Amino acid sequence: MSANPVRFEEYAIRQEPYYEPAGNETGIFEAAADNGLPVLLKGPTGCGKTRFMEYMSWRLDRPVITVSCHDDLSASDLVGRYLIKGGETVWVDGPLTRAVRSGAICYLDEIVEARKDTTVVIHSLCDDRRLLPIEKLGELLEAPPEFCLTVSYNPGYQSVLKDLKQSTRQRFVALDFSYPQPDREVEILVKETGVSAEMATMLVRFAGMTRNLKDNGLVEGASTRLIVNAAKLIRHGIAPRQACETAVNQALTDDEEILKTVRELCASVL
Amino acid sequence: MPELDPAARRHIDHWLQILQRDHTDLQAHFSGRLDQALTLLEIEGVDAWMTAILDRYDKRGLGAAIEVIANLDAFAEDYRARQSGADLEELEPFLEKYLTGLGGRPLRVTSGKRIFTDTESIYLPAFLNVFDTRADNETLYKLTAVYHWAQNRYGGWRLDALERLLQLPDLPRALPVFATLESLRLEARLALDFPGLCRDLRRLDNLDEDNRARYLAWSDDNRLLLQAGAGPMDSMDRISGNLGKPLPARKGFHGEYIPETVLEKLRERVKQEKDKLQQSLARLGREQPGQVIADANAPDNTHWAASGVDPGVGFNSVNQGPGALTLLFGEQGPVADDEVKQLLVSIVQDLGRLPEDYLQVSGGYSGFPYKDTESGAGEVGKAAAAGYDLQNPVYYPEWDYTRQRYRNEFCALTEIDVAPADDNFYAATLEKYRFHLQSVRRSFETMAEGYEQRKRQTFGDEIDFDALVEASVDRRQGLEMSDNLYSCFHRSRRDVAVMFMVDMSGSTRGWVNLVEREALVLLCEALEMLSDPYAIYGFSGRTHKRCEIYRVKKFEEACTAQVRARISGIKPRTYTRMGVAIRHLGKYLQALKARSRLLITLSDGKPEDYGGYRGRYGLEDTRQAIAEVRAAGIYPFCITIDNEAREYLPYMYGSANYTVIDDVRKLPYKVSDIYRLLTT
Repeated sequence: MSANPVRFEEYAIRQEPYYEPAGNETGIFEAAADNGLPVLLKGPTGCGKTRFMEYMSWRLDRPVITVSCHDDLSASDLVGRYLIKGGETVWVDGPLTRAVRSGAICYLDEIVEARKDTTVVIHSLCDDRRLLPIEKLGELLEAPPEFCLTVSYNPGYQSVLKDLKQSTRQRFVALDFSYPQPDREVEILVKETGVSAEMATMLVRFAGMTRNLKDNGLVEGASTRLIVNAAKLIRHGIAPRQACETAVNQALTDDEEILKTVRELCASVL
Repeated sequence: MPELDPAARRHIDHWLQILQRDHTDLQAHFSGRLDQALTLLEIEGVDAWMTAILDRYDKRGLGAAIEVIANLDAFAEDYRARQSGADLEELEPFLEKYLTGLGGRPLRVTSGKRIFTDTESIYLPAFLNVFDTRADNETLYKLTAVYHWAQNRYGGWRLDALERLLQLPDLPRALPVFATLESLRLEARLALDFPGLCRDLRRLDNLDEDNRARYLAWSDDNRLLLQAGAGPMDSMDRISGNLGKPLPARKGFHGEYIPETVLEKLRERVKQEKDKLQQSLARLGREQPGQVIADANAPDNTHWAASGVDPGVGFNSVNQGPGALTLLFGEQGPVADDEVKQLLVSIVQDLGRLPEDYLQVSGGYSGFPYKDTESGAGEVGKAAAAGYDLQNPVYYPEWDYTRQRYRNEFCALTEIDVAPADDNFYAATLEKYRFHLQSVRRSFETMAEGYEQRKRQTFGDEIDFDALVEASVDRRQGLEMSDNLYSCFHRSRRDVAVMFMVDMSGSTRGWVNLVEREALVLLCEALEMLSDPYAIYGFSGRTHKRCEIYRVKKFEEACTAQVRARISGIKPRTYTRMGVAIRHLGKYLQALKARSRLLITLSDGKPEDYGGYRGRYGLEDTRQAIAEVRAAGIYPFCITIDNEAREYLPYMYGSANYTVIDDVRKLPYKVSDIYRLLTT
């Protein structure tokens, strides 16, 4: 049997990722990590949760192992499984076990996408025991102080099957992420893409308008990520309205009636 | 007859045959005007003329139909106008969404004889045919709506400015001057915030050269109004200096100023919103960590502050919507509450600032003083004595927020079967929505046909390598090997049960009742595809002594002819006491073993009943009932057609657990989609 500890160089973030703090989220995360508390990042899609994790990984100088959760993710996918290699059965750690063994940050992105029976495996890691039972190995792994578990989810989902159970959510320190304030979002666009401040202002204004349509035709408004994408296309020479049409409008909805509204909002500022 | 291509010729012949069949005189009159009709109208226009003739014939007989034929010229003129004109009814949903996107207080768009805003609605003509093309006429609608939105958003109807305006000694002379000065200010502001829109504002202003020159002169004389920081008081200050100057014509999108109507609305709203804000802050204050629930006489124990409000012109950027306002509680930092933020936006639009006393809240503030102190069980006894038909009522508690406790056995609830109506409604609805139903069925079929992989099976399509490896390890260790070594695909069991709780209050009379029943028909058809257990109950009642639940379909019942007739028989009743209905129907759901249990309410407004069950009392009891069923593992969700529901539903159901359908007619189309979204 062999375990597979994290090779730091593989997951370490060497260069400081660009991140604009919105409040004291970095301080809170550091305090939670120092106290071995798991962290829950709540917020709409594309508002900077994953970027925040990369930034904290760099800041704490710990590798971050990211798992994008999905319907078919099983507990074995997280913890590990036996594989047959040359006639031998070999144990291979899953990403969660690797993070625990190596004292890394394990980031379970969109945890509500995973089945509820899968998310239960993290329970004993999330309370003061900080233990990961690996049934197949008969091993009880104790997390080192450096290990940090972070999960993210989008509370805006309207699906009864995609809700975070109370027994799971009440183990976390929760950080609420929202879209950045307009001035800071402009700054992010300028620094991230190199567009002019004037263009960034227009894009942020447009994004703000689409966010006003949340629950009023749109499930969610344009995220910072979407307008960053639009800004990158514009910076590459694509006409602003065309860039928004492809990077924002079409990504937001397929409903022709809402699309018309979003297009008109776009045309009113660009 | 003008030259026609063979297809058009065949088309006309077809119409002539139809007319011949209906009435030979009709055919003769039609043939007599056909040449002229083809000259005046394209073939599509003749088609429309023909449809109008037949429609009139069906409804009012031969004489009226011949009249339509005789009035061909008028029809042609109207038809051409309709071809190039724009219809407000078609544009209303778009315009309202568009204005919502721009931000600020939500505004309704509706038709009216005069073009103006009363700060809650924008009144536009039902039909516009100013320009040659439909596209331009639609743009004119948009610009007119935006211009009146700007009056609201950029402080044009601020209370202080409005009161000063109405005190001017010569208002009839001053008002047009103020309107012109405001147009300079608002258009400059729109140009700054919406450069794209500005192009259309210039293109479709409908002005001649003289009037353009006049506007330029007015702009030159009032440059300060063109700056971003200008407010309505700046326009006010310039009235006297501009009196007597020749006024430029109003632009096509300008509309009228009717300050008296606005003042009435505004004063009423200012009072209501202050009250509402303080109730919300009191509630939020109690919910902050470390705060205890205060009684109504507790001293001020909340410390609110707001940032992001510019006292000068309200919002210093158009993008400062609710998201830019920050509500602070003591040292605990920002508090997120969409309802309060929306209120702040509206207050700042009206007052230009947030007065300090608005944030001074008593810990136990209550906008609805509690009066009724009688005990519940006694009330029920009195109800029976009063002769109400309480057939074996079940008693439920009700949450009294003023006392922060339940009133035990307060609500007497009776279950009654809906009287079936044998009127072919179910079949007619299936026919009406047959095309939509096809797509609903298709999408629900895909939900039903989900497959999941099952591992560790004794038989299966594939080897389960995890199980095989474990079995090999066991064998080497001298243990018995498991024979569950296969994986296979199984049709997934959805394991979802749903209860539909239908609002049968009096306010659903008319359209709402019709679309509710239609929506239920489509839902039944869709749910039959899935085999999800479902039940349908209506609720209404009058006072806590007579709460009524109407059975339409029980969980164990199939969708029989009887159930279909009951759907058809759903009728508006009296009031909306929601809490007790939720508690009662929640019990049925709790008894089911399904993994996911949903309680979906179809509603048209706030909980409201006689005896104090309105306003905050009704909201608090409903909220409590929802919390109770949620604690029992039930997922409550609300589908409403109340456009104001965003103000109170997040508080009752949570921010992600409701949907507002802005157009009641869309309910049947949307409900199945919402259910699909909820359960996949």
